[in-house]
Amino acid sequence: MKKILLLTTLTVQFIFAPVYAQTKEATEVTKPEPPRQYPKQAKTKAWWEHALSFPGDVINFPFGLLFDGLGWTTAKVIDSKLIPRVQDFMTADDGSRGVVPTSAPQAGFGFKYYQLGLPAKQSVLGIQATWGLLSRQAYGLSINKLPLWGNSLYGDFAANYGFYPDELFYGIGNQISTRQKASYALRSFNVQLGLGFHLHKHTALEIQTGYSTNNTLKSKDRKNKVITDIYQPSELPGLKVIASFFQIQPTLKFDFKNRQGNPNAGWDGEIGGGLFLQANGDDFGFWKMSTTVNRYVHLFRNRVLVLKAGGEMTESVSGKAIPFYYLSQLGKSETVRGFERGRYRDKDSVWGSLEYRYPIRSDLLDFVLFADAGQVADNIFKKFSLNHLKPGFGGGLRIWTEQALVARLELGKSKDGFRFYFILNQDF
Amino acid sequence: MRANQLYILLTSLILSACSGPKLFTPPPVIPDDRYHVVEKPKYRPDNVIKNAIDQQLTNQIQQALDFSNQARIVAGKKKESYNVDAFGEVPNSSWFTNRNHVQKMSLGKIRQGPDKGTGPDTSQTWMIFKAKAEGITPGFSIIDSRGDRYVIKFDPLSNPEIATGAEQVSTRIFYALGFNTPENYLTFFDPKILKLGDDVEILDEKGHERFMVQDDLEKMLARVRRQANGLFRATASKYVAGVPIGPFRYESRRKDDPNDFIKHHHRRELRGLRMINAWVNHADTKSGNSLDSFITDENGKNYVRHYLIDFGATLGSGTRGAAIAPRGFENQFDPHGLILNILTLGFWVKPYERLPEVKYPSVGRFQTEYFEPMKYKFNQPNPAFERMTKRDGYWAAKLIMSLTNEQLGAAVEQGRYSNPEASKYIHETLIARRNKVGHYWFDRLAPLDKFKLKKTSDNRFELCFVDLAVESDLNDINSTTYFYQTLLNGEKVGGQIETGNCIKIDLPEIVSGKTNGQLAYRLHLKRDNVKSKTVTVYLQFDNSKNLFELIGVERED
Repeated sequence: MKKILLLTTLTVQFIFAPVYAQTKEATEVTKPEPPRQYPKQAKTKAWWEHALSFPGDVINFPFGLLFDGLGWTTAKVIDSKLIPRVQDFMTADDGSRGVVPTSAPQAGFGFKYYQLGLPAKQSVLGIQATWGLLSRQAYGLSINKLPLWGNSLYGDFAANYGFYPDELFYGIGNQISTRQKASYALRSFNVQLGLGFHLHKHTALEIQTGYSTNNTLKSKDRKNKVITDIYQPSELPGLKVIASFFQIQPTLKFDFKNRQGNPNAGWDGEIGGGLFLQANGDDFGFWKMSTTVNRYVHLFRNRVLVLKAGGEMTESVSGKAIPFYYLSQLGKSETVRGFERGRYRDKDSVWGSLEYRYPIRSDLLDFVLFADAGQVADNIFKKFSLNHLKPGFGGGLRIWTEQALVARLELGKSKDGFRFYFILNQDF
Repeated sequence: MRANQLYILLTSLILSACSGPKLFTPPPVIPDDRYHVVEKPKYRPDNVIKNAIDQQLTNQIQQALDFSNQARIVAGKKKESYNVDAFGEVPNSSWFTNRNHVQKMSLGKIRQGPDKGTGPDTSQTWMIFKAKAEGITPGFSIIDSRGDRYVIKFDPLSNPEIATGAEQVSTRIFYALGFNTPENYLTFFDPKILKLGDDVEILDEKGHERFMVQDDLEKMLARVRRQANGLFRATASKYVAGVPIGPFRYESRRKDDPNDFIKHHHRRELRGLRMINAWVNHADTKSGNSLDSFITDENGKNYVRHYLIDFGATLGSGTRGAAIAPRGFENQFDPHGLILNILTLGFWVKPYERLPEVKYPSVGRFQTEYFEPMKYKFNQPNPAFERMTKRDGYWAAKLIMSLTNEQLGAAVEQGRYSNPEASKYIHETLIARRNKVGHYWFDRLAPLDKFKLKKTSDNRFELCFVDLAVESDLNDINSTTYFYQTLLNGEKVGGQIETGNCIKIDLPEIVSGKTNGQLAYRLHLKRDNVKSKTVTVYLQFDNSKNLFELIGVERED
C-alpha cells in the first residue's frame, strides 16, 4: 500500500514538476523583485521604560482621545470650509458690509450688521440686535456720518429699543449698603437725530435731538427684592410711570489719540450737556452735564498708562423731578469696575481710573491692570471727598486691531465682590 | 533562603560594577532603507489643524506623562538617535545624503543645488492645471512645453523678492547639507504664456470649489508685483519624481512603508534639523512642509524618498511679508510665554520687542543680535526637535559649519536680489548666525573630528584629527592646546600628553603586533585655559592586515 502511495506521488511529481517549475520561472520573470529582508524595526524602549511609562500611558489615554477627537473635529470643520463660507455669507468681498458678533453687559449677546456707503457715500448704516437671559433684548438702527455739506457737516440718526429685565437699584447716595438691593425691569425706546460739524481735524461738535420713552416694570429676576415692594412712586420718581422726553444734547468731541484700536499716545475726550423735558406730562424735567477724558501715556515698548477721568451732573429744571434711572450712576464697566451696574446713584458723579496695559502677544493681545475709583453725591462740588471714593481694581485681556478694539475680558474686584465683564465689538 | 538570594544578587551587582574596563563595541551597522517596495504606501493627506493640535497639546501631555522619558531628561540621559554609526555620522538613506561636510562641494555645485535643468521653458505656453486662490500669495501649477510640471509661487505684494529669494537660498543650503529638496528655480515669465487648462478647479478663499475662469487668473496676477520689464518673478518648484504620498511626520513611522524602521523622532537628521532650521529662521517647520514620494530609482527600485519642501518662509520672510517679530521667539500658541508675560507685568522686555525695523523689504526680519540657537522656538513644538541630544546638536553644527563663507555667498547669489545691499546683508547674517550655532556647540562638545589614520614615512601609524572650530575660524589655534590619554584595552597607559593635530602611535607591543588589543586615545583640548569635554577614538589592530583600523568615536557630552 505504501509503495502504491509512493509511486503515485512520484508520478504526480514527475508530471507536474516541469509545469510547476515553468510557472515559477515565468512568475519570477514577470513579477518585480520580491521584497528583501527589510530592516527590523528599531526598538526604542526597553522593558523597564515601558513599565515606567505605563501609569502615564493610562492617565494619558482619555486626554489622547479627547484631543484626537478635538483635532479631528476641528480639522473636519476647517476642511469643510464652513468658516470662510459663513464669513463670505456675512461679509462682502470689498468689506463694505458685514455682520459681527457683539456683547455688552447690559445688552447681552448678539450681532451687528453694518453697511458702508448707505444711504450715501461715506455714511454707515448699522443694525444691531442682542439678546440675553430673562427676555433681555435690544435692537438698534443707526446711520452715522451722513454727509450734509461737504466734509464738515454731517448727520446722524439712531433708533433704539431695549428691554432690560433685571436692572438693579440699591438706593440713592454714596453710602448705600447692599441690603436695599432691589431690581426692576426697564423698557426704553429712543430716536435721535443729530447734526455734527467738524471744527477741526481732531474736534467735532455734535448736537443730538431726540425723543425717548421709558417704562419701569416688575423685574423678572426672582433673586432680588422687587423695587415696588420697597419704594412707592412718590418716593422714587419714575417708578411705575411711562415717561417720555424730548431732548437736546450738544457735545464737543476731541480725538488726539494716535490710533483707534489700541491707542498708546495722545488723548481723547468729550464734554457735553443735555436738556430733557417730559413730553407726556409736566412732572419731569432735568438737564445733564458730562465730561470724560482719556490720556494715553506711552511708557516704553507699547506699555501704556491710561489715565481716565469723568464726571456727570444732573439737575432738575424748574423744580421738576428726575427719574431715578436718569440719575448719574457708578458701577458700569466704563466707570468703577468691580461693582454691579447701578450700584451707586445720585445726581452727580465723578470717577477716575488708572490703567496699565502691556502686550502679551504683540499687535494682538494686551494684559491690563486697572484701579478705578468714583463717588456719587447730590452736589459733587460740595461733597466730594477722597474718603468717600469707592475703589475697584482688577485685570483683564484686550484683543485689538489697529482699527478697533475687538474684545475686553476683565475681572473687577470691589468691596462687593468680583464682577466679570465681557465686551465684544462695541467699537465696530 | 531569601537572604541568600539577596546576597547573591547584591554580590553579582557589585562584581559587575567592579568588572574590568569595558571595551568599545561598535554599534550594529545601520541597514539601508532603500530596499525595493512592491506596494506603494497609501497617500496620507496633510491635516494642518490636527497636526497643530497634536503638537501643541496631545504630544505635550503625552510627553509629560512619559515617565521613562522624563526620568531620562532628569538624569541627563536623553535617548540618542538610532540611525548613527560608530563615528556619530548618519549613513546615506532615503532621508539624507552626506554631502558638503564629507566632501566640500564646489561653488558651482552649491549654486546648482538640486537643480538638474534650467527650469520651466518660458518661451512657450504654460498650461495651468491646478490653482490655489487661498492665502495672501496666490499660486498655481503648470505644465511647460517640455511636459514638466511645476508649482509657481510668488512674492507678497508688500515685499518683492522676499519669498522667492528665500526659497532659492534655503533650497541650496538644505541640499548642500544633505537633505532631499525639490528643484526650485527662480523664473521670470511673461503672463502672456499662461494658458488656463480646461478643467482647472479652484478652491477660492470663500471655500467654494469651482472651475477656474480667466477672471480668476487675472485677479490672482493682480495680487503680484510685475517687474519693470513686464515680467513676473516667481519660484518654479518642479514636481518631485515619483508618486507623492503625502507629508512625513516628525514622530512615529509610516507603518505601510517597510523601509521606515526607525521612529522619525529618533532620526539624527530630523533632530539636528532643529539647529539648521533655527539658523535659517525656518520657524514654520511642520509636516506640511515635507513630502514623501514613492520613487523609482535608476536601478528600478521603488521606495519612499523623503523631501523637505517650501522654503519661502525662511530667512526674513514670512511668506505673507516680512516675518513677524515674535517668529523664532515664541510658539504660535505659547502658554509658557503668555503666563510669563502676564506675571512679569510687562517689565520683561522680550527680545523680539527690541528688534529694529525692517531695513530691506526683500529681506524682512532676519537678525543675529537676538538669535540664540537653543532658545529658538518654532511655530509649533516639534517632537523630533524636542528629543535632540547634545550629540545631535553637535552633528548639526558640524554640518552647518561645513558651509564656508564663499559657499554661502554662492547660495545667496541664487536669490538674485535686485538690491546688492540686501544680498550682502543676508550673506553676512547667515555667516553670523552660523557662527553662533558653531560657537554654541563647539564650546560644549569637543569639536575634534575628521579622524584619520596615516602611515608615516618610517612605516608607523599616526592618528590625525581636525579641530573644527579652528578650521572654521571660530577659534584661534594659538589659544588652543590638545591633550590625549592612551588607553589600551580600556586601561589607561601613561598620563596626559600634549600633542599637535596628529598622535604618533608608539605602543611597541601593539605596533609589533604582539598584542591584538584595542587601542584608544581620549582627547581633549584647552582653549583659553578652559578644558573641553573628551572625545575617545578607538582603533583596532588587525594582525592579518598588519594595520590599524578606526572602529569608532565616542564623544563625551
